[in-house]
Amino acid sequence: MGRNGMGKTTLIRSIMGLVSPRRGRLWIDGRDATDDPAFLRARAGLAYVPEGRGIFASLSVAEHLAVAARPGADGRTDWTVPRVLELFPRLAQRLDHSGAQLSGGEQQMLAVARALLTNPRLLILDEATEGLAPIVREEIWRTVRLIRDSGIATLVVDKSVSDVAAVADRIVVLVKGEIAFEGSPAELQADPDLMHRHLGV
Amino acid sequence: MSSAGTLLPRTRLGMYGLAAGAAALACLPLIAPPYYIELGTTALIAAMLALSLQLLVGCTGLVSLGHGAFYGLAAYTVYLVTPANGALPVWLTLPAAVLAAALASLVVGALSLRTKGFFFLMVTLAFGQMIFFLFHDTKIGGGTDGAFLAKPVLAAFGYELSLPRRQRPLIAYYVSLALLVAMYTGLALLLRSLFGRVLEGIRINEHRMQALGYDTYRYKLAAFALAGILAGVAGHMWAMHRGFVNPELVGWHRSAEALLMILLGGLTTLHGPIIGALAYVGVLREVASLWFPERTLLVEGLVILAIVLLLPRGLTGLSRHRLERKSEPHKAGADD
Repeated sequence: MGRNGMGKTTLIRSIMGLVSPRRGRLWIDGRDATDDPAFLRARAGLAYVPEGRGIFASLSVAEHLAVAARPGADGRTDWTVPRVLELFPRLAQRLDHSGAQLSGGEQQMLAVARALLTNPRLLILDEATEGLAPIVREEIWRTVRLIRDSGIATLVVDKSVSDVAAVADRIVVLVKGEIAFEGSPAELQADPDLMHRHLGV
Repeated sequence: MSSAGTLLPRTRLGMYGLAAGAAALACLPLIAPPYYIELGTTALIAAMLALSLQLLVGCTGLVSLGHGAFYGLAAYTVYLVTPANGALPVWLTLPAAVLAAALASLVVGALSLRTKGFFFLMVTLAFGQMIFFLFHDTKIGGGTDGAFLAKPVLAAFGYELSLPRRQRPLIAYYVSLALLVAMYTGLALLLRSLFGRVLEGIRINEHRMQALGYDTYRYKLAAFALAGILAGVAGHMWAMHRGFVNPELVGWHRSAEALLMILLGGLTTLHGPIIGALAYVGVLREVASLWFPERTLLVEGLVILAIVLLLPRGLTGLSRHRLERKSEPHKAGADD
């Protein structure tokens, strides 16, 4: 968590290999992956739902899913197209629609479905509930909980302290790229001064 | 709307339109005098070149200024493999020309695709000009004057098909048309495949495709080499058709012209470059030189400027715009 411009998205993009970090190293399974291109990190089990959802406007829902589907790094195929459609029944009704024809909530579901189909070990969600109606946000959070409980590590960036606290095991607050707080949701909520200073709550 | 994500016709009507266009081209020699059949062949070959470049520009989002070099290299290969006073059968010249174009595009692609955007444009231009000067400044292809080559023969197992001189232009026209139709069909199938979807994803946002685990460099290289091969087929046909090669075939003007045809016809469809090439070579250039013999380039330039400004989606945008307004349901704001 952290205010705008504190480096959350930059951190995530460097984890994914979409920007190169100015300093620091990235390790995946004890192997230095700092110099790996993004596609190798994705194949190693990182999946990314970008801020703004990143849907391909001209590809249909079915095409999005077909392009994304691949076995995980360890050969797992837990997540298949039928299974993500079961998770998001609304997408099943819109298989022929292009990305541009979906509502914001549907686009977000598609972005999550696409990431799950790579059978990741770590799912990264950047502002996944940004700009969505409350009822859709609730659905996204419910999905995040489900994914977490299925054993996929999940890294969530979000502005809502209460929503994050309800799903997270551990919270990190970033201030200008540095860790200002690291601990459990309860510890964060026990420090109103810190929440006010760094999260504007 | 099953093919929402491609540069292919979205409606049955659009597919019938394309088929009708191909049929009309097939009927053209029945009514056209010989001069226009030759012109038609030239336009069809230009259409092949523009279509092959569209695989890079419209499908993958790679604007190359070196594409003409593979076309010219293939044409020169026909000259280089043909003995001075003889002729080689097409079965030998075509694979040789295509192989040369394939190897060159693979090497140029492997190096230039390490750059992006403007730098890619400049690096492809530089490689294209290297190949241009190879033929321009040395004697291997007749230097600046170019060289004549023997007319093609269709031969196999000692049997040689000889054609009356009068029928040759007609054969060249239909062979070019058949090649163009085959090229379009092949590319249409390719775009419908997973490979085509990945290319489209790369065009829209390469980072996102990488984040999905795709080695986008390899996909772009495959597209670049395939486009080079198709340009080689077009270049081979040019050598067969004209029986003459010169450095102009290899220079960057050739690439720029092909880009122009894509712009004219429409960047957002696979058939746009074909329409652009036919309109440019078959109509615009012809009319401009006939009616304004002293101001040809000026008139050409003004017309192209007007079309690009008034029809940002090219000539094919005309019909597409109306169709879309009728068939498109509500549009939610996707971020790109």
